[in-house]
Amino acid sequence: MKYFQLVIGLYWKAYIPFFLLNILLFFVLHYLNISPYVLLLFVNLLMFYSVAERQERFHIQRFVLSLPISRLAYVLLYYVFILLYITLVGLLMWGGYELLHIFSSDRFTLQEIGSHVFVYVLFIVMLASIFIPLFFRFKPETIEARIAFFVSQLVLFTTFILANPGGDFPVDYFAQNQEKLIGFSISCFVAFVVSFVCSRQLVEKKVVL
Amino acid sequence: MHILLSNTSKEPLFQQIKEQIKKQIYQGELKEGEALPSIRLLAKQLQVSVITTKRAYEDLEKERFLVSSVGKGTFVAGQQPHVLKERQIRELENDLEQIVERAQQIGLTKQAMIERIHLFFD
Amino acid sequence: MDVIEVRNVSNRLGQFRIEDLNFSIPKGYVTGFIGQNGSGKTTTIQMIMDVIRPKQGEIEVFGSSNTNPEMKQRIGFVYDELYMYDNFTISHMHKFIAPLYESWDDSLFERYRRAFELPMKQKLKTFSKGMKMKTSLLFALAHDPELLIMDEPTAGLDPVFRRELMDLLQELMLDSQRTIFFSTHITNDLDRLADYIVFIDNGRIKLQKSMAEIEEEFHLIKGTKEQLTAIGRDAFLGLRETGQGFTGLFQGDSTPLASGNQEMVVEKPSLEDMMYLMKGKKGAW
Repeated sequence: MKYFQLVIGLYWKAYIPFFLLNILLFFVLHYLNISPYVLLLFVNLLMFYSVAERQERFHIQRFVLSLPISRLAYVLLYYVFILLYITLVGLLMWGGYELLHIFSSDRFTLQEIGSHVFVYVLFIVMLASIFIPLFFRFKPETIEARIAFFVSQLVLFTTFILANPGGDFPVDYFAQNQEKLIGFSISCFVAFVVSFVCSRQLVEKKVVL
Repeated sequence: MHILLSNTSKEPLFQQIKEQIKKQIYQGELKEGEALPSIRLLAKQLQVSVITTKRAYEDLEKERFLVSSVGKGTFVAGQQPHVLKERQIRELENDLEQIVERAQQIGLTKQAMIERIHLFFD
Repeated sequence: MDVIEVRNVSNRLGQFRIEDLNFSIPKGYVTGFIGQNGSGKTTTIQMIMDVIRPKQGEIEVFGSSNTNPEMKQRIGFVYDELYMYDNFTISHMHKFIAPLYESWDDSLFERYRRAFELPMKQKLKTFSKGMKMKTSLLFALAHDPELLIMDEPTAGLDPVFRRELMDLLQELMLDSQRTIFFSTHITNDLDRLADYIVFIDNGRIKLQKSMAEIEEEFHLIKGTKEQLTAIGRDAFLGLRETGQGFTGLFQGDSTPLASGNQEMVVEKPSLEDMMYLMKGKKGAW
C-alpha cells in the first residue's frame, strides 16, 4: 500500500492532463461525428513519451530507488498503476457513452459502444506494453531517442491510415468479430505481461538510473 | 570547566584542550570526582570533531588526570603526588607574587629581597 | 565497526573511470569525502546508494550488500541536486515519502521544516538552490537515520547557513550510533568537523586517514631551489616549484630535514594544500 501511494504520488499528476484530454477528445470528436480512435492513440503514445521524458529529466528513478523500495516493487507498481489508469479511462468513456445513449439512442447500440471502448482500451494496453520497456531502456531525452520515437510513431499511424482510408478500421475490425476480439485480448494480455518481465529485467540490470 | 580554543594557534586543537583541562586541575578549578561533559557534547560545544575531544580525553586518562567508566562518563581523577605537587607550587607562586608586590610597594629592591630569602633558607 | 565498506570497486562510465576503490567509513564519526569536481565523488556516493552499479567489486552497508533495499530504511541521503519534479510541493512529497520509512517522525519533520524556513505548499521550481538543498536535507533527516550520506551539501549555500548546517551535524553527532559521510570541495567545512578524511583524485583513493593522523604525519615545507636539490624531489608526495623556490608536501618526521636548513619553513598543511599538492601531476598521462 505504501509503495502504491508512492507511485500514485509520483505519477498521477503527470497523467492527469492526458487523462482529461482523453475524455474530452473522445466526446468532442464523437459529437462532431469523427471517429476519435486514431487521434486518441496518438495522444496516449505522446503521454507515455512525455511522462518518461519528464521522469528522466528530473532523475526521478534515481531519487525513488534511493528510498527504501526494491527495483522489482517499483516496476511492478508502475505497471499496476498504468493498468488502473487505462481501466479508469475506459470506464469513464463507457459510462459517459451510456449516459449519452439515454438521450440519443439513434447512433449506436449499447453492444457496439461497449466493444468500441474495449478495443480502444486494448490498443492503449498494447502501446504501453511496447513503449514502457523502451523508455526504461533508452534515455528518452536524447536527440536519438526523440528521432526514433517520432519515426516509429509516423510509421505506426501511416500504417493505420493506409490500411483503412475510411478511418475506423482497427476498432471495427476487432469489435465486429468475437473470435478476433478474444484473440486480440489475449495477445494484449500476454504482451503486457512480457512487457513487465522485460522492464523488470531492464531496471534490475540498469547500471545508471 | 571552560575551554577557549584558538584557531590560529600552532598548537593542535586536542593539545589545547588537554593543556586547558590540566591547568584547571592544577589550579583546583576542576576537583576530584567532578564530572566532565561527554566527548560528543564537548565536541559540539567547542565546534570541533569528535575525534579531537576523544583524543584529548584519552591522553588525559593515560596521564591519569581523568578516569572514565563505561555508561557513567568521565571524571577528574583522584589527585596524584605529582599533580598535588604542581598544585602546591602554583599556590606558593601566587603567595610569592603577593609578597613581591608588597616588597615593591615599600621600595625593596630585587637584590634586597633575594638576600632576605637566603636568610630564611639558612 | 564500519558502516560502509567499499571493496575493489571499479567502474567505467563513458570517458570517466573509477579504479579499484577501497575504503571504509567508521561508525559514530564524521567522514569527509574530498576531491576536485569531476574526481568521482558523486559516482562513488551513488554507487553506495545502489543507483549506479559498479562493473566490479562490492559495497556493503551495515554489514550486508547495498543492493538490499531494506538498508535504506537506516540511511538519509542528500544528492548534489534535488531529484524531484519541479511542480511538486513539500506537502505533496511528504505524502508519498513519509509512509515508506518505518521510523518516520512527523514532529521531527515539522521541527526541521520550521528551522529551515521551508514553505509546505510552494512549488519546488520557485525554490532557490539553497532551499532545494534544505528540502533534500529535510527528507533525509525526518526518519532519524543512523547513516547520513550527502553529496556536496554546502554547495550553493550562503555562509551563514553553512555554519548552521555544521552546527546541526554536530548536534546529530551527539548520538554515538550516528555516522555521517559527506563529500565537499569546500574543505573549510571539514577542518573542524571531520574525524576522518577520504581523498579521491581522478577515480582513485589517494588518502584515507583520521584528521589526527593527518595533523601529525603531514608537513608543508617551503624552501629554496638549492634546498630542494639537497633533499631530492622524490622525498615529497607533491611539489610545486616557482621561481622563488618550492612548496612540498612531506609525510613523516620532518625534523631531520629542517634541522640543517634554518631557512626552511615547516607548516601544518590545510586540507586544501594537501588536495592541491597531491593532485595527479599534469603531463604524466
